[in-house]
Amino acid sequence: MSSFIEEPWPGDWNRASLGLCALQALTGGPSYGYAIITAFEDAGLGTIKGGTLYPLLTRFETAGWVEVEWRAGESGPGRKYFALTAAGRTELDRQRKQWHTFTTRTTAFLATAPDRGVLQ
Amino acid sequence: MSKEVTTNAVPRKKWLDELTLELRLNDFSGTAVGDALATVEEFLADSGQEPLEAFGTPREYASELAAESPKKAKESLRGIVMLGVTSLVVFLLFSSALTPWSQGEQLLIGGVQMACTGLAAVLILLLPLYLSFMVRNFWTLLTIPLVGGALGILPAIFAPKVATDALLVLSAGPVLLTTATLLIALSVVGTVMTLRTDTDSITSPLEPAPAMTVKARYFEILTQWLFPVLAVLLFGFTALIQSLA
Repeated sequence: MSSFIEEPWPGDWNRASLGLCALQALTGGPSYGYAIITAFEDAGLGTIKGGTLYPLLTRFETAGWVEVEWRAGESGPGRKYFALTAAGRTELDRQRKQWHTFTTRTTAFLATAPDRGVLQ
Repeated sequence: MSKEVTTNAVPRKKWLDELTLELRLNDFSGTAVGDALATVEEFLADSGQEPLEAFGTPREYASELAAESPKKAKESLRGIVMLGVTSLVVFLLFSSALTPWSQGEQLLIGGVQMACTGLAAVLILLLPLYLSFMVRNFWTLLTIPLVGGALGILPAIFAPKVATDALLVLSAGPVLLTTATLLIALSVVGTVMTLRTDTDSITSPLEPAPAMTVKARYFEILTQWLFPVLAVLLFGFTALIQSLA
């Protein structure tokens, strides 16, 4: 990875994509807070705080997109696992398509020649 | 993210205590508070971070969680506090009528008494507006004995000595009877509220909710009858003083 990519992403970008990425992080099966954040870091998406992730997951739980299950830890505190529901998978599919369309159009717009695409 | 072993247990406990308070102020149930605390502890154990670094201030985090949680129609902390404070005011009226009644005199109420009672009523009615501030800023609780003391001493100092100085002259007997009835009614309401609500103690998500023992439940109900019990004791004490005199 280049040093450019190692720079933190603008906060607005992370905020816009976090919900979608959190749903995506659960497609492989139930997961917990720190594992989700580590997955984001490993994917080069930047460091997300626990104080940002958990309220988002709480919103998803309220919306019925995820369900939670507490599992006892071998040592130390237990872990709260989040799992996608059927409604959550449907929502992820919908948002993923929207995101793809949006980023494709944004990329195309950014590649537009200076004399095209905007009113002169 | 580092996984340093934290040795800063005292600030962490303080942060968690403050989070508990803030969640309660946001009307979280005991189960929901236990879930939030366990989640924070799980994340801190995994990440090695300190709570302020990972979650911000307790007030901010509780506010963000509350904004995303389903809204509950449950009896709030404010309702319980209002019931207790109203009982206190009724008890004070009862006690002020007790001595004149025992001496066969009338209850004389002057301007200062009325102003103090009015001020106390306004302060109680506005309690929901500043209760959260007082609970968050513990030092402000010192104003309660100061204001309460002033509202208790001033009427005694400026009490009218004769009926012509009083704005209101009441028969002490009916006041005593009314306040005694109100005290019992408020205690009945408190008892019903206690019995209709779950114990709502903070429980860990991995442990079953502790069964509320009958003894503990009795104690909870007994606290609802604190003012009638005090009123009976005060009545007995006044009667004893009268008989000795």
